[in-house]
Amino acid sequence: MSMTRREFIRNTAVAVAAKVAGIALPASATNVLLEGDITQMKWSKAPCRFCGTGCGVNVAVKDGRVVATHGDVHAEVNRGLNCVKGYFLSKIMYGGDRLTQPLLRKKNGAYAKDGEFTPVSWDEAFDVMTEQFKRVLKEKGPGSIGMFGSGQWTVWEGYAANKLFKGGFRSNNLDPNARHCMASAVMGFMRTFGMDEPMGVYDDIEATDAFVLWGSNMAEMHPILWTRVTDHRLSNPNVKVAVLSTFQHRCFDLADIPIVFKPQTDLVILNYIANHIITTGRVNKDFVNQHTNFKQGVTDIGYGLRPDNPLEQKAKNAKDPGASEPIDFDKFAAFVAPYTLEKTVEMTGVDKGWLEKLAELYADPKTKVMSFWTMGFNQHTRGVWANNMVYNLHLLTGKISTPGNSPFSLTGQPSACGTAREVGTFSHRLPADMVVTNPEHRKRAEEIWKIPQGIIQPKPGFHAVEQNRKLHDGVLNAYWVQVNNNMQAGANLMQETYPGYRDPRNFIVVSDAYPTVTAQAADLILPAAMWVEKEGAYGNAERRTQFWHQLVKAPGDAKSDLWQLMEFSKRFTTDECWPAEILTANPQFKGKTLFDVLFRNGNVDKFPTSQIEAGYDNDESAAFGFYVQKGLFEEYATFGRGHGHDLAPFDAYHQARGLRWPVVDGKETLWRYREGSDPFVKAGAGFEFYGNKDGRAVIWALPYEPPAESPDAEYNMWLVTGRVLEHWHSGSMTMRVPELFRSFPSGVVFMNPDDARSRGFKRGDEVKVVSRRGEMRSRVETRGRNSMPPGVVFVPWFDAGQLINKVTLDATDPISKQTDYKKCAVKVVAV
Amino acid sequence: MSSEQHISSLVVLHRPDALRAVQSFARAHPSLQIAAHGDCRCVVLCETDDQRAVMDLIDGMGDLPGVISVSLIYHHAESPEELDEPVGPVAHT
Amino acid sequence: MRDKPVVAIALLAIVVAVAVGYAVGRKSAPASSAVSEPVAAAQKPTAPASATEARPASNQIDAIRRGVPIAEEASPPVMAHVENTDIKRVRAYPMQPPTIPHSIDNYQIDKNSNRCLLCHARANADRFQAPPVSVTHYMDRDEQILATISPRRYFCTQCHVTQTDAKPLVANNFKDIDTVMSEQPVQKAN
Repeated sequence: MSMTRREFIRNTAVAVAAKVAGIALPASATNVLLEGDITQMKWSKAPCRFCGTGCGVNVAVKDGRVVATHGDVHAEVNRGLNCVKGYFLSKIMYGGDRLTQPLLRKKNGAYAKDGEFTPVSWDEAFDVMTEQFKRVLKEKGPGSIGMFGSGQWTVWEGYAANKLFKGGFRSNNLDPNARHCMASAVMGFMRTFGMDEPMGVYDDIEATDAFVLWGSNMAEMHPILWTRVTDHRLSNPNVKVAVLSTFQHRCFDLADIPIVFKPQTDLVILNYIANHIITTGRVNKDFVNQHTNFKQGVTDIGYGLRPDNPLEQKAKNAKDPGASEPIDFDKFAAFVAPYTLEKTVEMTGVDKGWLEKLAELYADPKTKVMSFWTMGFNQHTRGVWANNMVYNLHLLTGKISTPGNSPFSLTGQPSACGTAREVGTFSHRLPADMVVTNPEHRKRAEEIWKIPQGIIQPKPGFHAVEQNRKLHDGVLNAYWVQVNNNMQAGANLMQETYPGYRDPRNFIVVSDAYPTVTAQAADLILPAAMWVEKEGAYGNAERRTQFWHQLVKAPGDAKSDLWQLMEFSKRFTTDECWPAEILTANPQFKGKTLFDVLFRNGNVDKFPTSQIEAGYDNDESAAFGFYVQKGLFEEYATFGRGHGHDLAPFDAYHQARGLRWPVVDGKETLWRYREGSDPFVKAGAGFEFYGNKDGRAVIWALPYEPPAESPDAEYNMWLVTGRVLEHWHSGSMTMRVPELFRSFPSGVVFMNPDDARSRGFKRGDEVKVVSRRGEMRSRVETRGRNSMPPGVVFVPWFDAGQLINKVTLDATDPISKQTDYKKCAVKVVAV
Repeated sequence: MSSEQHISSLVVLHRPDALRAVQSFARAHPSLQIAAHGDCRCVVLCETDDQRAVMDLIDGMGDLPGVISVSLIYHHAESPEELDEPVGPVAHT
Repeated sequence: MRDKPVVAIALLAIVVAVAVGYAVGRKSAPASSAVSEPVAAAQKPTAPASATEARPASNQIDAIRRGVPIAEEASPPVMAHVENTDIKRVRAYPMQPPTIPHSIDNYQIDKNSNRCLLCHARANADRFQAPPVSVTHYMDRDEQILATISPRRYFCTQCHVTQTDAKPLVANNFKDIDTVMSEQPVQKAN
């Protein structure tokens, strides 16, 4: 029988609308419109795979394949819209070179570091991997194995990895790539509020009077949030948009207050505004007196480079960069007093009028302000300071935790918050904001995990940048990378990242869906299931936890990261990983596998597979015989319930379009720290920053300090790296979608036309971008979406064919250990 | 462009007693068809050769007494020739 | 910030140029349904040779690096050209935003002016013979219909992008609903 496209489209139109309306299609309607099950597509919800905005999408599956996606009209975040990447989600899993079987470097039939990639079975892959990890554990101990994870892990994948490394292998060398994007935000939150993640929500966008973008190109990096900002600005002529950056990008198209400042001088502007608020008498004294404290941080803290670097040796407080002493309001006022308008104009190169207009947005008590920031603040050698300093402005004026008054740190990955931060997959953290250095916290984690006291090591492990350095130095020797592309993402590739991966002392495992450059540099590649090929959970930037079901099967032998972690744990026993004295004191653990003690502990294996929602596959649960995701989630949720990190019961998330924690009595929390909105604030308190014991947030006195490297006579330009709208991160997914690839097929060097002319370049010319660390070949772009000021070039990093991180500097914020990808000195020369 | 057919679906939210008004409005406009209805919501399919007509019909329905809101859920435009092409197994035989 | 008179003159010039371009282009352009098939064929990338070439002998597995080892540098591909044919491309599924079939160099899209809507707004579309924006774009966040385009849809390039002539480095095996259905075993009933 046949059906026309018209009938098919009419059917789809009705089916979509019926779903929205919640009306079951009566038989009469289906008779008229539907021609049997040939057209039946199954639509299910899922969060987008890309950035931290957390848009909801509907995914259509037909015969085991994703055939269409569109924005979910029921998703509060995006209400039916997607950005161009989101609209092409249906193609990300179908790149022609999906990895479908493990690949091991082999020579003459055996593993060899210099061998050729050879397809092997999972058994052989895990045999070799086990042998290597056991060898290192035996020879050098748990401090020489490590894992690099991701803010793209699902919540339970990150949680399982956290357990396996910290509670099984006894290694804290577990860090997520979120270190590259969120660590400064985390430390900013911890130092000011004692508790991670924003107090406000996206609803602030529709409630505010002014947006201030501090180093955030939302138009390209968070397009759907930008549609909400645009909507609010264009619908309300009185609303103002201030955009601050080191070059002009698409956000400037909406800017009422456009500000291009000299790199690093955002710190000056922040203190100038604080000074302006104080000198014009607009401090909210009641709020400041009741809800804040003042501290002064130590200065001259170095740049997170290797300890033998002269810059580190010279820095007075590189050893304890987070130290501080309490001060009072008057001292703070005196501290920011030198940041006058004149001095700020001089240091930043910004027009006086714009600075005053910007400062007034914060100072004017009648203007509600929402501040946004992403990598411009976080990827900054003083990123933690910048975070603290923007909170200063909101705290001095009391513009916080109320609708429209919202300092808002955005995230770049779909679960940077949900997995990396909340689950605590950083080398110093445990779930729910706890840390390995605190004996109470370790004890609590060991109790929940039902493992003996003393298993979790008290010393933080190697953070992301340090992992590369330790691989390079042969200290870290067995290393597993999951769901990220750090060969492309890590700074100073040629001097730090690449040599470590290819060092014969080291064994490198990379789990990925596609053959990335990181996979290329590995010894063993494990094929991974991605996105809706597994049941998952992500947490977005506004504390919204979102679930999805497995909708299709992974291709070939590809397996989810969760299956890989749990299956691998079966190959190790407690006797191989735990000290004899702990086992003697706790004999019931003797001879058990890590799988038994971590995942068959009565919590994780508590829920039968019969509880999986009918009509959906769940390959991990089928493999292990219990509802793996539910068990892991419920055990994990124990950490936060009752402590202000409360998560709803597992099943609730499969129904809702996400819920914002803390979820108390089934109700999500929109504005934290304010009475009436946050159930954890005591009655009569008004506001309570309960992350800190005294309930007060901290206003920090911190200065401007220069960047690690600045242009000079030879390396005479600033290099800024970042993303473009059409590609996400390292491009391993989006470069395989033809429409996205063809819209922006390769990297370019965005350059000021006068800079190009004076060097004899014209648009399209091949050039080398050269730093003291390496060089990369690209082509000059003097037009297009970005307008560069003289002396600054912007190079996106999505293109594996142009590895700009050969050029960047691995300087980090000394407190957060997050790399500054926005500032180093380069020269651009003809090839 | 007039060479395109516009197929869209709408969800109409109305008071329970207004269903008849929506039904008679749909009968009066051949491009409309009520595909499914509940007590106070119905799904209306709309096919026209003029995009502006879609907006006019939405406005018209929105003005009916007892209608609370009309939401456009789905919209697709394609040339009539393409719409008449078969899909499914036949397409490739 | 911007030099307004110059922009205005430039804009006028663009408008004239584009209008003439459309008029000229229309004459020779074949009917859209006639060209839709070859475009579709070109769009479904049938395993480009480069994907397989970039693989193997050298054991270089990341096709995006075009066969160049990580530690080496090669001449980057020449800058791709934006396709400027004005021929509409077939979509993979109904809700995919159409890609832009013409160059948008120097288009001003900011809070004061939107070059795209000059031709594509419903009120102007007939005059410029441009496809009018979908009526979905006239709904606000609360699904209420507006008289003008919804401000949330104002920045067109967040969803609609141009396409260059660059050849994809990796094939994509996505299949649309029509293809998946056509591959089904012939239906049981009927």
